[in-house]
Amino acid sequence: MIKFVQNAKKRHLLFVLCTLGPVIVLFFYIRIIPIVKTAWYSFTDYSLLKVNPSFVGFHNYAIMFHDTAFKEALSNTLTVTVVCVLITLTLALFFSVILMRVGRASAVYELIYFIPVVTPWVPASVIWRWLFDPSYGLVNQLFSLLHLPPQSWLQSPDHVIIAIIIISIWKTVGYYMVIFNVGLRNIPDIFYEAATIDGANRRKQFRYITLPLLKPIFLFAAIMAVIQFFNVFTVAYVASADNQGSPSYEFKVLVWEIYRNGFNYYKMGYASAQAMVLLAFVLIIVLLQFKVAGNEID
Amino acid sequence: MRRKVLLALLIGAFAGSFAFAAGKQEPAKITVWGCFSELQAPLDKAVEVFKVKYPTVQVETMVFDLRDFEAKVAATAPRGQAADVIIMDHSLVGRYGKAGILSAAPSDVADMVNTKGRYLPIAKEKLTINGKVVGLPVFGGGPALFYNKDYLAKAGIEPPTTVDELYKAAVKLRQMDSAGTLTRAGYSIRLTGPTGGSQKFAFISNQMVGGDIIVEGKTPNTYHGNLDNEATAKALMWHVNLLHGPDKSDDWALKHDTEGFAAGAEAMFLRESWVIPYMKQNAPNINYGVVPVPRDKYFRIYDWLVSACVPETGKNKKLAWEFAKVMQEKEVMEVLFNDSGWIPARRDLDFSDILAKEPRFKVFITNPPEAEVYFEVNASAYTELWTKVGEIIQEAYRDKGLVNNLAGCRAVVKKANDIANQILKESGEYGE
Amino acid sequence: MKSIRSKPFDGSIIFIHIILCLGALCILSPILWMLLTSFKTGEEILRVPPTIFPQYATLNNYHTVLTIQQFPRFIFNSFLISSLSTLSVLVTSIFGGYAFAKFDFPLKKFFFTLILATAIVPFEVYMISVYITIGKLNLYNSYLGIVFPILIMSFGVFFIRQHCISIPNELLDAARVDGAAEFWILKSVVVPLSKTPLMALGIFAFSEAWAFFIWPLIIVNTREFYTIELGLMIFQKMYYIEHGPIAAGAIISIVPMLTIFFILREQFIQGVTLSGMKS
Repeated sequence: MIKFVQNAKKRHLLFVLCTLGPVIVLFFYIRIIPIVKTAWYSFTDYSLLKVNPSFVGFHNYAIMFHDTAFKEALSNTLTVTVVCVLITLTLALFFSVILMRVGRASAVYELIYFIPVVTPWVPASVIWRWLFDPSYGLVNQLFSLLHLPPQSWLQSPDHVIIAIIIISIWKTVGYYMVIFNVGLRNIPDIFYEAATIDGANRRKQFRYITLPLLKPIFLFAAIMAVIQFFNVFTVAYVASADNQGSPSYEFKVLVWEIYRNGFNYYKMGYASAQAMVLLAFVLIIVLLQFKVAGNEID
Repeated sequence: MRRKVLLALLIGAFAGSFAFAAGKQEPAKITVWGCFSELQAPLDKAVEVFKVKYPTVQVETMVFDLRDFEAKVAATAPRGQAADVIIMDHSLVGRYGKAGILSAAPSDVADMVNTKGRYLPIAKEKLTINGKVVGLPVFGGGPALFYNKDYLAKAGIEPPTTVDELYKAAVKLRQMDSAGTLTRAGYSIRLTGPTGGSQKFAFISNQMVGGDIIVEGKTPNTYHGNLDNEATAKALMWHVNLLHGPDKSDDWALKHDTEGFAAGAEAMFLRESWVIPYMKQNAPNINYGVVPVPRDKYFRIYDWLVSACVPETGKNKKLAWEFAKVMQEKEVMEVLFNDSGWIPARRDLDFSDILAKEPRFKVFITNPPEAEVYFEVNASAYTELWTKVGEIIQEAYRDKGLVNNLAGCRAVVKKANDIANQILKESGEYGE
Repeated sequence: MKSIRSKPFDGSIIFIHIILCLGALCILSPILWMLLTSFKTGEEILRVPPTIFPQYATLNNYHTVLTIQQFPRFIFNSFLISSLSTLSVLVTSIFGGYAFAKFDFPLKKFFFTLILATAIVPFEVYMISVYITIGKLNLYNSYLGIVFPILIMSFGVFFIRQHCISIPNELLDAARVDGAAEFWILKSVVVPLSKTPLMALGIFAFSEAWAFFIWPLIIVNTREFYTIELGLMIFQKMYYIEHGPIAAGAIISIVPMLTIFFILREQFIQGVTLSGMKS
């Protein structure tokens, strides 16, 4: 019997080696080593044109403090993240709640609202770029129908952020609505029936039953949303990239700065430093939210 | 249902890998990269002509957007993974030529470049790096002033020849609705796009300053900023005055650039010759004319050169240079001229039939003799320089407080100058 | 008093439907507008005020995009890359997830924390390093180079692990007592029991791979390797903006994902649901 157990242990280890082993190796090559290398590059002046980089200490990080482009990108990214998370989650919650009152048609609505979610970011941005065209775009046409002055949308720094936010909300609200649907459906009817018997009206039921029981899912959605919007790139790059024939005001975001510094200016060392800053922000945000979640669950 | 989908996916994967494997066996092959999408048509023609001479060689062509293109060349050329022929503009030729990435042209090609009258005289200077010719010119062309003839006729004015006349004409040609919103720009300024923005600002500032925004230093391969002066400040104020205040003739809410001109949303703008085929295809009803860039104290016209180069690490250099030579043939140059509108670099060919059909091209081919042609400098940090300077200028455009405020404008251009010099110092190219 | 769950037929239900329909209109109209635009001629597109339905409907835009612009090739590339990535993610996730869930081995906690830690790191943080590595391996502009970063998914490993934990050990031990090999157990016991999460993960991995944009942007050098996302974006960036073909291109790039969505819609929603429940 003991031999059987010992053999089993050997077989198990062999199995793990053959299955998890390659997976771990892949993780090392695809994730871990690159992350460590990025940290290393951030302390050098690695450039695509200069093949032997030299160590420069914290120089790259010091420059970042004075880099107006980087600061603008950071501010834009934070603004977009905060605004999009707030509006998207609120809208998603709102639609999810009223969807509960609809019977079988709710599946149809769910499907429709999910369509932008499966539309990849590039065609979504191309579509909206056309909608925001100052002369021919549907948005400005609607504005003129309502006797409002046409806006410059993607051509001016004040409005391009609004355009990016609108596109982002359009694209993601369906996803969070489905997530909240899960949470809402998981709340047993009994709670509501008991509350009704106790004399609570709909608003009270929402406030004292729905919201508290939704908190874990809400926090999960919030974490996902924050990370998703913080890494905004494709929509900014495609919708606001300045083309020769059709100019646009380029909306700076963190990831685009990393791309720009690395692949347009060839300053891979500096871009790596910016990448580490991006990582730091993401870690802080996630840790903060876990802390809040931890407190709430208590 | 699910099984069917999974099956389809698996079949797709298998088919794909077969296609991939099949595609791997090839005869002699050269790849050509072009830095502009308009190059596709002339490249296709060149491939046709090339195949007649070298029927066994496969040619693969690829065109990019300029900015995405730069990084690819930088990453792949030093390793020998770039295309065999790369068609790039002179700033990149300078950058890569100095880094030793481009190969020297064989003697017959070098002779072509050195032949007088075959290309613009400046071509030889820009393409000779460390004593060796590294590229064969393909096309170029500077800007001119496009104007809507109907709008000018209605306002009763002639096309402007000086910067002051341009300003006054812009104010006369604008149109506003009853609420005071601008509905037509008198003169369309480039308000977005970092490198393009600073470049087009320089179209005007050069006339006032007598020099470009970044100029060469005394030592070769060094440069410094040329923005911190009264004339550049005046050029900035010229633009700001047209964007705010009583002379406002352009706005961010209007459609800009070529599309705006085609839509009739602007009366005048500065652009290169590629606008002509665009207008022919998309807005044939617009009655427009072209005159040279308006002048001021100086008369300087921007030009640039796009040339075919062969990386040193390429494996088919001989064939690559042969392809570059094919691009020079008249039939290829004609396709380039006709389809894309860019001006062929060869000045010794007869394009009179194209010019007869479209005489507006003439403005781009022959510059007025008193004009001075200028090229942007070959700094390695070109992209960063023009991008960061452009961003500062575009920020300034939005500042109402700079209207008629020469001191304020001077502060802005000084800041741009400082940043430009800082970038040059970081890339080791700064020199007085 | 009315429960928040009661569904009587009263006025407010109509009001709710109106709001939902308005929302649906906002959601669908951009795509519908683009669809209509794709059938219009260049001149009609530039008409102000615009026409809603094309007066001179044309298939020219689609013809341009499908023949001259090589979009079919791009779609094939996207399918290939996405399929390869999905396959790899599924295999690595079931291997890793099952191993972490049901086996003990030295350094188990260490490796698990490592993978957990990398889950939060966005790809854009280390993409430059991967780019340099791929360059040294001379894999620029190749299918392997494009698919490299998406061969594994940390979330996938967790997801399957979560699920595998719930498989009763008795089932596995019974098979072992019967003399079954470990791989056989994985293939014939664990995988069939994991069909639902694997399906959901597969769909998720496929859509992520399809939408993967920044990496092909920096690594692809020739048109034969363009994915559809890259092809569409580059098509939009040319000097001459031709809105008709761009509209056709956008519609064509949406069609594959939308088709898969409509066929497998339950699994899509289920996938989101499952990840929500696991939170």
